[in-house]
Amino acid sequence: MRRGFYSRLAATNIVKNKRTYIPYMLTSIGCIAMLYMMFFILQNEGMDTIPGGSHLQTIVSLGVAVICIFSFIFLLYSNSFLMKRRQKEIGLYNILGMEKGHIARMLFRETVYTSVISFIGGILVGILGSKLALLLLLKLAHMPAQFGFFVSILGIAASFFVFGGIFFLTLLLNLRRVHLSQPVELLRGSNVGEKEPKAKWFIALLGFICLGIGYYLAITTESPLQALGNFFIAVLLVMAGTYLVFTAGSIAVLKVMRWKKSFYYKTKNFTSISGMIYRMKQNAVGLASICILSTGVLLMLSTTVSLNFGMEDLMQTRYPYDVNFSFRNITLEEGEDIRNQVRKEAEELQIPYEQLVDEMTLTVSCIYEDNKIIFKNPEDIGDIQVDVVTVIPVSEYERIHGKDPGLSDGEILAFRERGNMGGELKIMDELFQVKEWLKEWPLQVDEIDLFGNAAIVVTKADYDKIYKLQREVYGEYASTMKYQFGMDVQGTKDEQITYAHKLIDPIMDYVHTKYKDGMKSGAAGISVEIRQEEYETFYSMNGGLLFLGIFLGGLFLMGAAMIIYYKQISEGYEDKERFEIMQKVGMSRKEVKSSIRRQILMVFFVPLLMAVLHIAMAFPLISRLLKLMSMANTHLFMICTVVTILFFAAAYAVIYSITARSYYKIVERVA
Amino acid sequence: MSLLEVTNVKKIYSTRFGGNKVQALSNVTFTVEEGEFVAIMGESGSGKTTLLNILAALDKPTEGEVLLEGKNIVHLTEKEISAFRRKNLGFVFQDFNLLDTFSLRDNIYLPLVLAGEDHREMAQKIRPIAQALHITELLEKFPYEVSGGQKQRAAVARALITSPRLVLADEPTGALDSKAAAALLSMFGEINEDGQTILMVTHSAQAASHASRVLFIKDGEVFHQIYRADKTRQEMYHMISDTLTILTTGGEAYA
Repeated sequence: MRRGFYSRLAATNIVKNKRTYIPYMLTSIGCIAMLYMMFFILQNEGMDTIPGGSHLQTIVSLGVAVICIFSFIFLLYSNSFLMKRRQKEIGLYNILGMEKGHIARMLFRETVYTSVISFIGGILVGILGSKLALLLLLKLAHMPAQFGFFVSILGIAASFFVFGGIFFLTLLLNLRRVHLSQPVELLRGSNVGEKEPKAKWFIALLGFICLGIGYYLAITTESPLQALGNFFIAVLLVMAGTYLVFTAGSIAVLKVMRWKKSFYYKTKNFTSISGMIYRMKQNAVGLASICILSTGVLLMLSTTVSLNFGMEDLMQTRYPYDVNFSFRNITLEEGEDIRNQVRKEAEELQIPYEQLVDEMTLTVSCIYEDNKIIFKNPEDIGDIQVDVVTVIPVSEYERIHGKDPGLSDGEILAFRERGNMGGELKIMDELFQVKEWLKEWPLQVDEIDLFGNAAIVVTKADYDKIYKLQREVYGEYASTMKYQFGMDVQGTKDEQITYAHKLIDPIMDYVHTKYKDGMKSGAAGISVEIRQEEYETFYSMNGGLLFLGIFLGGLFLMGAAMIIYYKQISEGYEDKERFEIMQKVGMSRKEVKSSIRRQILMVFFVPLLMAVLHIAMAFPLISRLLKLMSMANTHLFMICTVVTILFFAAAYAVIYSITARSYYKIVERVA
Repeated sequence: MSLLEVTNVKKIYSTRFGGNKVQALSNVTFTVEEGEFVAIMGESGSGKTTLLNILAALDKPTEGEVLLEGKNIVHLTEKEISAFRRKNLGFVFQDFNLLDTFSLRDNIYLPLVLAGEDHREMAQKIRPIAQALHITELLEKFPYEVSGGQKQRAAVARALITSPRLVLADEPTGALDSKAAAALLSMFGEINEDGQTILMVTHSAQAASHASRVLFIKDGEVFHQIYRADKTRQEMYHMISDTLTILTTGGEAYA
């Protein structure tokens, strides 16, 4: 055949199939552009030097991985859809005398064209958008904007390899499809008479059980530490449950609806229920994917948005005091010495401060058993439900509260949130008489609400006894006395930092010279936290996460949009015939229209509703996880979640209405 | 008064950009009486399908009137048309037009459901019809599970279940083998004997020979008609064949 024939044929094929090819290429362009932008950001010069830049780099690298994986999935999915739609056309070529080799040449050229267009388009969009993406990231991370612009060769090369690979793979898959098929089969294509799907009751039940357990875990997990482990179990269960419920559960539910005659034989239910039973068979997996992608987007955005909006709160929770020092591994006497030194220095420097915390305690992890406190190695416990008990020397209690409780050895004051509050408390095998149950948390520092808290006030002799007891069990991991002081300092951000350093430097010097040998753990035992200095890290972390959330949210939304679009067209072709028949039998145009609308609304908004349900159920668990990240403002998280859902629903509705238009066009052409 | 009166119906199609005009029906006039079984014959392109579409109110004539029980269906509004179709007309199509997603029972129920009837009444109505058409055992099956003849019988049941004034059949035997076609046609005969008016469009002389009257259409006009009176089917078949021969050899002189 003449030269250039295949090239022209391939080009006309793409143009003729533009309804399916354009979304495919748009998806490719979107994915390529995103990947390029990620590399641009990674490669940006400033990234290494700005504080917090390394956090951003880690977060962005994570984004690269996710984009690669999902580009792969999305493009293979849409390619398989494309080829299914074109089966008849290719079968026709085969029957008209093109050999499979010729078809392969044609397909090869088509792939080259679409790839080249997508690649060039993607890189162009990427180059144009990269600066914007960078500025957005820097803005979210509260970093100074950078000037200058460059084209990332690395980005172009990486995109070329990743997407070149994906496109090559699609070509191979398509060639294999053509090679394996018979022309007659190709011609018949998608029109194979389909059986009505059977209801798989067991699988449906399994799906609901998976969802149920996942939800149950999410709602009932109390301890934030357990939440982390349970979160992944719950996510897996809910994902599996979603797929099972969409594939088997939906058909089961529809069949049950069909049994109910007075409900089924109503104009508005009749056509939609039977139509849906078929539709679910082909679409369940797609819809479940949309649901899971939507849930992912909502989760990512709601958490990252609330971390950002809750930054102030978060910092207040994580760093309750402007300046916080703590010394571990010290004795009561050493602590007393440092305390005096701090007071002296602060006075000399005339720092305008307010002392908020100034206390020495011993915090030990333990297990409560009724009226017994047991020290036990975590390896021997098996359960991760660990509590802590804070041991307070009576001298400290007296200093904080200004009164002497008059304890003698063997007597204690105790505080406990719940559980047995009898007259005795055993610690390992030592029996203590509880002189008084305290009504309030006896320390200045807040309770750590990750644990079930208990505190006991003991005499010096008993303190030593308990210290020894836990030392015997925990060995080198035993807790030590901690002296903590936290203060709020007046002044601007910079003044606060200056004051804090002025104060801490001489104290450090003092401690290091005096206790060189005594404090073996050295710097590890001393921690200095100046809240104003920590902002940068948190901004770059949380801003980076939000950026990634927005970016991946966009990617997922694009994927969902593409799946929805392809669903709409493929269903359009199938439904066209059905609605023609119904009109002939006496359904009015209006009824046809409303029936169509009902059906697609149901099909496409069910995943969204399901995603919202997932989010609602995950809410308690996520808010506990956020607490681990010091984001304790559940109210704010709730608002962020609701707002995110509203925005997402709006975006979803827009995608839906755009794609629904193409569906109506197909269905209504004759109707 | 006749059940159906078609007077001077004319239909002109214009191509999309209004250039060429094609006359599908030039001037069609005929009537159908209550209880008749009328076949309309003609070659491909003679305007049969256009006529049927107009009778079914799926299409509007350019000129002329169509009266069903004295009511002019040409001037019905879009809204009235579907209700009209549902109440007064039953359809049987060449390619059955059953919905794959429904069992035969549900396919037959479809017009009743659209009319908003109670499901208990539907169950009562379907019983005698299914029995007469010998599909009682097949009702729970799906279209892809039964043969062409069985599908067409289900389609006939769907047409009959609303007790329509008029059944319109468009090449009902077109997709059936000769045995199934013969069975279906004798069933049409039985239904007609029970008083059902049927109007069937076909180009099969075999099919038309079952009718009580045959109309021939050529070039958009009613060219000729044959009454059965007390002729046997065999005689009827021969008359139809002869007429068709004249039609195709262009025997204007005999008209």
